[in-house]
Amino acid sequence: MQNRILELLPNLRRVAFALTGDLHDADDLVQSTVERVLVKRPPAGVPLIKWVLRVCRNIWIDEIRKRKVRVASDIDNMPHEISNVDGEQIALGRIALGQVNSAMKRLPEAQQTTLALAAFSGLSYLEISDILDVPVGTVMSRIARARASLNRTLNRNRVETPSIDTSTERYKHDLH
Amino acid sequence: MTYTNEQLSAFLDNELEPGLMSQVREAIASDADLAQRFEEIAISDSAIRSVYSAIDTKPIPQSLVDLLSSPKVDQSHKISTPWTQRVWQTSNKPVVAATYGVLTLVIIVSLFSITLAPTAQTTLATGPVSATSNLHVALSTVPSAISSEITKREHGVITPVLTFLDHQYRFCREFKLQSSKSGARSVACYQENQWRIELSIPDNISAKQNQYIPASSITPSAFENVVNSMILGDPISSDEEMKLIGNRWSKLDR
Repeated sequence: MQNRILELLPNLRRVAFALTGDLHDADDLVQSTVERVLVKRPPAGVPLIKWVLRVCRNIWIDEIRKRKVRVASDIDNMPHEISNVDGEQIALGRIALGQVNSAMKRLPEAQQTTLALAAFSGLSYLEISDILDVPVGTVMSRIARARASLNRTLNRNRVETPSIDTSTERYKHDLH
Repeated sequence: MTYTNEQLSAFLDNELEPGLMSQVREAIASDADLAQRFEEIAISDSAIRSVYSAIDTKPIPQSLVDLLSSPKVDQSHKISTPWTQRVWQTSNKPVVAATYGVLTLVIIVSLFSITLAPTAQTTLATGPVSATSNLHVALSTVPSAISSEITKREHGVITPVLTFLDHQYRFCREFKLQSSKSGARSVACYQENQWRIELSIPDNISAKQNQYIPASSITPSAFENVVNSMILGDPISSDEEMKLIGNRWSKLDR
């Protein structure tokens, strides 16, 4: 099972980062999650990914929110050892993290968690509803409301950034 | 027909039933206001994905690697939350961030305004492409990044841009169609031995500067978002595309 958890780590770390907004706290949350999952294995018939995310979410609710988690953006802890990157881009990236974190923190916990799972778990709405033990319709509405709130908050704090499309750019064969 | 933000949000996640997915996709392609609403939803979603994916560039803590590498896990181990026992070990290896991941830090907080760009009027009608048309032949045989003239009268040139599998497991191609007067960006999907135009917008890059163009239209970035939402997995590679062309789009030999 340890190898399977290792395969889930990238998604789990992104979910944790989206929940905590802090790189160190995210990996701490992941550590706590993995420790608990290794002790308390998933019940029969429950996919590991759903179990892991359920445990992660429960830890977040029960333990992390009770602590004084740093709310400010993790500016000082962004990766420094980045090669071939313009310093201005790094600064803009930190500003972007701060703004997005701030917007996420304004969301109700239920919306934030649901959105984080939708964005990074790789699971369907139905699977997310199973993790959160809510109807699929609730998952759908939480995600929609979260995105609408984020859009309003982020647009109020607009920062002019250059538009760079990297969605499928590496696959496209475009002639100019 | 109006679509709610919930439906647009679910469309972004490919969570609507297939028929409704097609309806919404077509509606976005033809309704500028709807396209703008969708783009706003997509932008905030892209902001989250790009920002929080930054953790990928940070090495996995050694304590976690050790935990998952240990041959035996003590079942009686009392869990201590790392906030009280934070063990942090720095890696000796330099962190090499993928350029793509770094660039996305900058991007799509995309807190710039959504503007409706003036565009040319020419688009392709959605629906089947005649099997005897030059367009059908071009879609079936021209590799991506290759331009091919399909109409001599207006010097019409087709340039496939991207080939991918959609969520209905159809092979689809994004392509540009440009003439001396106008241009279009479109997506066609292969189904039952026939290409079908699924999406088409005017391409303002091709339009002449002094040509009258309507004020409202779907923006290129909204078109990109729609196309991205159609893609299942990764786009088809060049090698695989050549195999598809050789197999007449019937299957992908892997």
